[in-house]
Amino acid sequence: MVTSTEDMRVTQFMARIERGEKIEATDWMPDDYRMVLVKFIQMHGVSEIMGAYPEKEWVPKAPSLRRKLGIMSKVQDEIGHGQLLLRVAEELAAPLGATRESMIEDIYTGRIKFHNVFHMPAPSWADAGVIGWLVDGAAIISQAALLDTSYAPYARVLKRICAEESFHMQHGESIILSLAEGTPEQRQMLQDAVNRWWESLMFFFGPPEISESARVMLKYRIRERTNEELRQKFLTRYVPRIRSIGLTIPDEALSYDRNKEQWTYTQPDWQRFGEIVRKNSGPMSQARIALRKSAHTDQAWVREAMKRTADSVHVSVLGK
Amino acid sequence: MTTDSEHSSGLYEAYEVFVQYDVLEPHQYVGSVLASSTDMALIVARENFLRRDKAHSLWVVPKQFIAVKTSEDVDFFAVEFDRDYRRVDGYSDNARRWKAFKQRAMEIDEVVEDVKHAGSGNPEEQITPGDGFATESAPTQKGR
Ligand SMILES: [Fe+2]
Ligand SMILES: [Fe+2]
Repeated sequence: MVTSTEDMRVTQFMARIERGEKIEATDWMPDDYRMVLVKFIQMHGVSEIMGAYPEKEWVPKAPSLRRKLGIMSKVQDEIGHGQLLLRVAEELAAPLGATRESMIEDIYTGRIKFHNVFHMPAPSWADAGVIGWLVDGAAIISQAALLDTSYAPYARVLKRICAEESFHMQHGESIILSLAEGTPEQRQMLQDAVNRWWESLMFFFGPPEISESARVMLKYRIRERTNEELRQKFLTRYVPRIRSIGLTIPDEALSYDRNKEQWTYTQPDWQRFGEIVRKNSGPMSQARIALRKSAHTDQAWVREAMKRTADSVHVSVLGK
Repeated sequence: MTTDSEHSSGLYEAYEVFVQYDVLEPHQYVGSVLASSTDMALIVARENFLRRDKAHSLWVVPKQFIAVKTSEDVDFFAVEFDRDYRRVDGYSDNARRWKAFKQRAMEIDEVVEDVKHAGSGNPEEQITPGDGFATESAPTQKGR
């Protein structure tokens, strides 16, 4: 009977997961494992790419040549992370008919979402610093928590990404330290940026409730930490540091409860940010998506020309 | 190194062999074998390179399908500038600057270690009392 073989395979697969084994692209896997991974990794990859946009806006306006080189390197890294991740996602999604082209098209047809933070504006150099420091800080915590994921190709790519993120961490800190050591105006600029980003950062980790797809991910050991655990870790690491440089966190309810060993904080506007992500309706969503779309469609002829050249070279070599 | 004409003139074909020793490590080039087919190349590679070592995965690739750049092409591998702005060591002054704010510099290794455990952790351990880095020195993990 078909169902019993299927059941047996699922049981064997779960036994592998429970033994802590890693799954490869060519291994048999249940459909829901594949589906949830494709969506998650594609969203991760697309967020890396869309995440380069707010910082890319600061490449021409960086305050010194060294800062320009630094932020340019970081933007390159983020696009590189996007490419590594999409490679993993498209291989998994190949049986479902997805390609690199379709995965990029999904951004502007709205079929794939990207992180709320990358829908927001970065009006000052301090925003570039706060993105590097706190948004990357939050992303590093989320990615580090995935290093032990059950899907091996994802784990290997994450290992590489985390190694590069250690530069992003230092790069972001370096920018904000310079502002924190600077004039009252520079410090105010930094405070304004923290005020702008704080709520987005709380939203970034996702709702405290465990969603259906989060449940599937926990079951298959795709991830082992919950949204709330990661947000708590972020607060533990960053609140003391933000305060140490004399900044105020724009949340009066924020405090650490020693007895519960938990942070209390004001919930971000789940409704508003949820809508921004779902409908791509944030202040910068449409402008950045339009840029991504034009990069993809305006250069379609280049991709095709390169492919034709490669094909004709191949034919002439084989024809000899 | 063999040339194209050398390996195409023989009866068998040359295959390059890559072994992945651990599931989380990349495949590593270990050497090459001569074989009559891809299947045989896998068997010969298994015999030549994996008589003792435990491996997770083995690849053989016909040598002719490997595109190569060597250090002979100096321009290709040239690093145009001093690129320390791209590396962690280009920002080594961060630690001293944090210290001026009575704060400890953070390293990615400790974050990696931290997220392995449940719970929020203690925010007081993040603060440096006095001027030292005494509270909790960043654990340096192997290989990361
Ligand atoms: Fe990244
Ligand atoms: Fe990053």
